[in-house]
Amino acid sequence: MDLSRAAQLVAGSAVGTNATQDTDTEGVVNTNASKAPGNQLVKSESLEARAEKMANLARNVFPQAPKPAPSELGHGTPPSAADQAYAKAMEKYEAALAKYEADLAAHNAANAQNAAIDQANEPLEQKAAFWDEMRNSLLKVTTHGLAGDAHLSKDELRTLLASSDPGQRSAAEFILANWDKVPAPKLPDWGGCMNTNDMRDAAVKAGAEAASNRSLKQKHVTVPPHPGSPPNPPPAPGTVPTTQSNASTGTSNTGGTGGTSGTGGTSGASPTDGAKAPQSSPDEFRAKALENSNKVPAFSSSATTGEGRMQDGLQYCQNKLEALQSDLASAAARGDQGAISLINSEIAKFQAGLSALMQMMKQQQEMQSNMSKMFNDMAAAALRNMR
Amino acid sequence: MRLDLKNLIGLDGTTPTFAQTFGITFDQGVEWAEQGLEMARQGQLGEARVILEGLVTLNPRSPGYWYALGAVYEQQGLVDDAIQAFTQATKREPRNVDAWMRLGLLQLKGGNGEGLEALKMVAKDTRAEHAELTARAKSILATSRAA
Repeated sequence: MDLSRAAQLVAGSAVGTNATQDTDTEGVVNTNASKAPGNQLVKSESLEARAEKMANLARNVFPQAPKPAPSELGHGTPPSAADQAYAKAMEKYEAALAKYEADLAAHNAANAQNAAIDQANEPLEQKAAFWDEMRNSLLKVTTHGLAGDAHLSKDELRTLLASSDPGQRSAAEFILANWDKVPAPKLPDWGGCMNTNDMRDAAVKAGAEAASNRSLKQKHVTVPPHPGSPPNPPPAPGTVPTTQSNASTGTSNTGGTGGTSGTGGTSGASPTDGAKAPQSSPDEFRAKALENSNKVPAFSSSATTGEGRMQDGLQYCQNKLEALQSDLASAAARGDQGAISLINSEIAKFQAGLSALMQMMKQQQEMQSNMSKMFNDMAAAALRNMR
Repeated sequence: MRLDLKNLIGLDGTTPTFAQTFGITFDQGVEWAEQGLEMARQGQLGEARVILEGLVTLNPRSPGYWYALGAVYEQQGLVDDAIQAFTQATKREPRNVDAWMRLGLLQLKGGNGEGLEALKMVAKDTRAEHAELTARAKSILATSRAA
């Protein structure tokens, strides 16, 4: 195992709305065309034309559907009640599909906006990769002893382009090519770490802004419910239609049975379902579940050393855990299983984090204590030798 | 698994890491990691592991910590944990051919054919400083094809 390489890398591196049926309060097929608006047109439409129209409709929805042979069109029986129900169901399906597509377009537009926000925030992962490359390149430059440190000016880099050393040239090319990617030649935060207090404060602020953006984004990302599968085509001649069986109950089973699940869908809902209890948004739910936990003051520390900040951080984790425990008690009193599950997962995270961090700090303290003892022993031995 | 990914705060990038929350700097993290690796060099693998696990908890988005932890896990014979660590390292730093190589070899040793895909990532690298690793990966791949 090459631990030295590891060290280098560490350092360098439907509801199917059943569109048709569950909203179909009529429940039965309206065969009384003369009562419908435009009835004259309906009356004058030939059977062939209606059959052709239906076939076209079916081909649009089911592209794989074969085109009916002309002979079938010419000699078919009049549209059955099932066919009429299908056509009606298809109309409703198409309307629902159009609404779905409009909602989806709005959703995609919101996503695009969110992507722009993300890009503006420059995800840490990308930044980390960039800085890693940058650091490696700088390392090459500094290794050759020309630059001295990482804070090179553009002019200094341009002089390196004329260097006979290919390593220096490529490093300088890389840095110049990527010069505008970062606002200032600060040292890297490298995926979640900061270098200076200023950067740390900036990162905390950026984190708060990103969280704010995320909560805004959350409001947009709900995928609209898909209207479900298109209605089934009418049964083949000779089969017993099963589409009207629930007509008298106010529902129709003509169409597809669901499609994919989605938020806000009302699969199989009927007018008899009654009013639904209002549901809070995920943000509201989370805020309510973690009410006490969210009241824990944001982390702050006046310590100037990493060890000091870690100690304060461990205390912060303990405060969080205590608050989460009180949230858990409240959720249990309400019998809110969703909140209990959420709080338990938060507790697990903080417990795991606290445990790992405490062990790390303890280990380091032991090591420092051992080092201190070793130095004392060495000093004592040196003194003895001097005597 | 010693580290449950779903419990690592900030791993998915939607929340700040502990390092960000506590304001632990990159330099401080590297200093601790070097201490952990020094322990590993001295054969104190358990102690090194505790430190590196703490660092990964502190900042699970750092490929360097994952790689170092994977190396320690590997030495301790914790193969599944090592594979998870190297997988995280490669996910976060796809150009880390050392991590790809170790991941590939561990997977192949466990009879997992995905190891060949990891070695292909090494073989694709064109950087001169990794020529030796690349040649080794190509050699293993050629052998596997011949077999």
